[in-house]
Amino acid sequence: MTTYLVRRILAFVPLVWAIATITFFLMHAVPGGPFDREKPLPPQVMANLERKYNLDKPILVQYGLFLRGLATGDLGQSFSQNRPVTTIIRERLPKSVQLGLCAFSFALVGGLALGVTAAVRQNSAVDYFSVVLATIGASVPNFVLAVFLVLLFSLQLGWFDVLGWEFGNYRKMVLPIVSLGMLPLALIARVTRASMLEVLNQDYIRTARAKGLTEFRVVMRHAVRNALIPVLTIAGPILAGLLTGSFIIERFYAIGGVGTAFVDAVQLRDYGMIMGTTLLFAVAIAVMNLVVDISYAIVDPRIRY
Amino acid sequence: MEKFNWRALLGLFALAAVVLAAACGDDEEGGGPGGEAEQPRQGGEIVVQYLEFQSFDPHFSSFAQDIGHQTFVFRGLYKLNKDNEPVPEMAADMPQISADGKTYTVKIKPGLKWSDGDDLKAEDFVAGIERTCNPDNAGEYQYLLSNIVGCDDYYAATDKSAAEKAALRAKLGVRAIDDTTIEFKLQQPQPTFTTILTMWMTWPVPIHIVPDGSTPWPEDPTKLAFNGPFVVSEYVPKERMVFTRNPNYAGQPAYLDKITFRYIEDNVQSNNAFRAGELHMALADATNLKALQQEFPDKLLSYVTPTTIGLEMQLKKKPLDNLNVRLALSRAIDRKALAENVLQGAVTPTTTWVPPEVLGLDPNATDLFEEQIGFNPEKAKEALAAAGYPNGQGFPTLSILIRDSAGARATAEFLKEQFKTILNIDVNIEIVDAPTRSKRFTEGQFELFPGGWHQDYPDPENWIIGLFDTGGTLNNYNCSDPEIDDLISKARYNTNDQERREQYKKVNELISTRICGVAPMYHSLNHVLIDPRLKGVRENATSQDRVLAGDWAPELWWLSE
Amino acid sequence: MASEPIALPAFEEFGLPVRHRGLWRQAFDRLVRNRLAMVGLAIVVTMAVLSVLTATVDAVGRYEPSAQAVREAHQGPSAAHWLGTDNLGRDNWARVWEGVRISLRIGLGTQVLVAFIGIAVGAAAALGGRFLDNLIMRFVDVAYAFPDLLAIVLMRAVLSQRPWPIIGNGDPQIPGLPGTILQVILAIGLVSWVTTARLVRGQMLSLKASDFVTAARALGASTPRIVFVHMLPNTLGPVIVVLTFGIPLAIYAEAVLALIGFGVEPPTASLGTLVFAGYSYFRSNPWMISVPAATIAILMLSFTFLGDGLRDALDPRGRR
Repeated sequence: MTTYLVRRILAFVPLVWAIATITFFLMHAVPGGPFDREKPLPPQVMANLERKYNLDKPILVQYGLFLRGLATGDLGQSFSQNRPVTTIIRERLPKSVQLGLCAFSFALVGGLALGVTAAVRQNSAVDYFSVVLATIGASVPNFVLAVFLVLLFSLQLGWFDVLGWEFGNYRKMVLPIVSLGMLPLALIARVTRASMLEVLNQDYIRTARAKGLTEFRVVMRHAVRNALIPVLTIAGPILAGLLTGSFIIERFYAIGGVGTAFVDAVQLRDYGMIMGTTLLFAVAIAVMNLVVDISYAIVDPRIRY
Repeated sequence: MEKFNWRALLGLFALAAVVLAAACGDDEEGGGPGGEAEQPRQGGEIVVQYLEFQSFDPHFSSFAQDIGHQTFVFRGLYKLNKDNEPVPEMAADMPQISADGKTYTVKIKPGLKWSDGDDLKAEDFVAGIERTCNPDNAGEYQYLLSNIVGCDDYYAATDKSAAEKAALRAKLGVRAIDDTTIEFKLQQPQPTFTTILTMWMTWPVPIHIVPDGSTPWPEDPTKLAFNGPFVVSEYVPKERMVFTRNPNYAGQPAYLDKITFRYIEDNVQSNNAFRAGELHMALADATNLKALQQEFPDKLLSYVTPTTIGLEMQLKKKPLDNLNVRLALSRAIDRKALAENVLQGAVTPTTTWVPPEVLGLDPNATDLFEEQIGFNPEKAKEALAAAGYPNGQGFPTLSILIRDSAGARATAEFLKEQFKTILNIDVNIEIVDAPTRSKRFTEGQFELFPGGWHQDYPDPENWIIGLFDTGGTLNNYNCSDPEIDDLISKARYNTNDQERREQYKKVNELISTRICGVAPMYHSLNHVLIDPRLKGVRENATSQDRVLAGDWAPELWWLSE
Repeated sequence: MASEPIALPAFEEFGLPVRHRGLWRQAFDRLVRNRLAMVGLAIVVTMAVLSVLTATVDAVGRYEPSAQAVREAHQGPSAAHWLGTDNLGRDNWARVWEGVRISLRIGLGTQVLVAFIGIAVGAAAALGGRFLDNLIMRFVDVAYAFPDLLAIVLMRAVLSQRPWPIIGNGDPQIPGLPGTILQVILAIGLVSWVTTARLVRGQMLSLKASDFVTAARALGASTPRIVFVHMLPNTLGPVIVVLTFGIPLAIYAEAVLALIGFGVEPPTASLGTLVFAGYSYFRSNPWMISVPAATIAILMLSFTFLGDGLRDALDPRGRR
């Protein structure tokens, strides 16, 4: 297990290098430069700025300098804010992580509860409700959901705030979490229900029932544990998607997280910020995949690394 | 504040502006039903929408939202009052002007202090001018100071050695005679120089924190010292800035204890937050103006702001070099339908480049050149035929360059349809993002470009110099007309104010009727949603507002019980 | 024609063509029996047909999608405008069908691109030897770790604003596919092929070792023949499923691009740009956002139903 972990973690290095390289050349291929603005900068100023950020050097030299910085954990300056990229990311990351994790917990808890209940009470009202919810949740895009949630819960009912995110203040948390977490909740509910239905028909469940265990024990101890494996398979990509795909919701609720930072950076050609946010997300995805693989081993005793 | 082609979806319209004054102008005066004016109350905290700044350095900035932030915490020697006249702010009195009009001497108030307790001296103001002229800082508004002796020479010394730069700085025509006296030397007598001394690029530098012009402004604004009515006490990038009262401010102390800027780019969202009571003031979503007028009859304030938006045309590109082609395009634009229907009445249709009130005319006289360039399908077709393209035959496909925003899209789609139905010509709509659009504009790489100008200071010269003279730094559409050049050179340093203004009026007529680079379409209005408890905002709404109503004088805002 | 009866019996001995045809037949039967999938299919087909009819038959389309009547802006539904008008007085009915047309084009176009890249890369990895396989799979791993939406945004920015032929910003050179639409298709397609490639590689690797391929090889079938006649059709089932699920994702991705200002060029309407335009007016003219938003939801839902049905029909092992 330790060897496996070390090997997986070491594999991050070439991965980060490869992603950084692709991103580097892609973003330099975006037309326009970071210092193009409405009022023209005097040519000398432009030259000074480009010298300062090494933009006057050949692209391969810039690439070399960038790699040297990357190796020491230095992602350079943000052109648009004239501050180190790492500082900006450190400021913005907590909000995105909080939002992502909250939405994930919401999706996981809600999805599992709904899926398990629906499977155990197959063809009941709960089951139909969960199927309908899963269907709607999976087909209404999050930005549409957000519009209507605000309309109903903020403006009509006044339950929650329009502007988002302050950790611990439910008025500023509920709507962003629901907007972001609804789709994954629907997916998890769907997969859980299907996998529970399959597990509940297995022989060992019948055995467990025959032994006289209570239904609750049968479901919780034996069925759920086994039904979790397919859920885990999708949980990793879902969490990664929540962390990296939150920029729409961040924009919508005026939350200054890393997602909005990326979109702004692309529009402003802020090379340092584009790189910083992309690498951050790529590493997040890689870590998430690793966590999923490890949790397989914990949930499913048959898997050994 | 800047070339008014700003940043965003909000760009064209967020700061927008026109006059619904008839609808909501009258009932907003005075207090509540009681009719008696309430006395301003000390204390209170408010949260308002704002747009995040790009640079906090007043000697560098050009964006309206930057200058808006800076006005809360910095002040200059003079300040424009409600009637746009310069009055002393940090200065003790109006400047003493020498007989030849080229030397200005200004005394500052005694005992001035920065917010951190350090003395605010004449050198701090001198350092401000030096910083704007400094080539390493490269202030974007340096050109307004080019009449100060030596400023242009110093600014152009980018590639010179440090010693040469120091020598040029020493030659600048600004010095501190003693701790409270500043002297300015000008190359030519300039009738508007006192007005220039109200502007951000002349404001003082806390030299105990930023010792010289090449030192960058601190990254964290809370680390600065301030001389304005407020200080920055908290800053969370992309989210908010918190201002608290500056006890050392030399003017009347601010009424409010605390003002929080909540950075929101999307006015739909900020308007929802206003509805939900989360904001005391927000930029009205001008694309939805008619609905807002019904929803908030007593909370929506709309007033004129000196901005002109037109269809800018690249005169170097054929066939736009042909006056008849430009006339045809201009006459094919139904400005009234654009203003009333497409832009929801958020703007006032116009045919004059310089707004009439800036020329000293009736503000409603926006139809000055209606006859020559206004909407007239028949005359538009005639002009196109006269240019050699009867019924649009043989006319090349031009493109309209815009950035992606709801307002810009609607405008461009409207123009495309107008040109097609009236002139039978095709235009493409080319959408690029903000940096590319700006770059293409400043490089002259465009054909048709909806954009315009927002006034920096209330004088007609601000609408003309550099914008329409041959080779002018902002003349990106390449207007070059000997008659215009001649008049500008005559008016520029003319100390006879009456005559000068007449000359600019004539220049405006030439620019507008010859469509020398831009066919004026509309003047903007500012639309702001204001919580009725927040006072001192409507009362101080003027053409100097940066982003929100009355934000050139936030010390006068107060909150009633 | 004369040669066919000679060639065929050799294969029929192994029951191959028969079994092959039979599998597709069975799959088809399973699909037809799936009621939700049929509903999805019916909706998709109806919408596709209607979107074409609205563009070609005036009585159905009623208005030009870009025709403005600014003095009739922001109207609710009426006999003249079934779904009301937008901010420039354009007919929402005509606009939304243009949106469906564009969004379907983007959804399908993206998946065609994905199919080509995915199958080519997957097949090359499976059949090209260990070195090529290693090389490709390392690259696929990297692409897999690249955040999808971010990559699409970045790719769209790279492709935009250039005077390139065909996909440039100028006059459309392929009828119905102006440059910006192709840019959107390329941006999404160039990012989304990874899953398909992995799937094809896995399928092909197992097929390579399967009995009937070994048998065909023993009978002297050429490699291209084996690949195209025997292996490819057998990988198609799961690929079709993945592609079907990819369509709603592409439609969603296009809408996201439109929301952050990287959408298609006006006055062309995609469902994404319509939602974006309607968002500004969602209180004063709710029809402008509700109609395209509901259309996106229905379209995504139908494709999901259809995808579920296809998966159950074509990929019995994938059923849970």
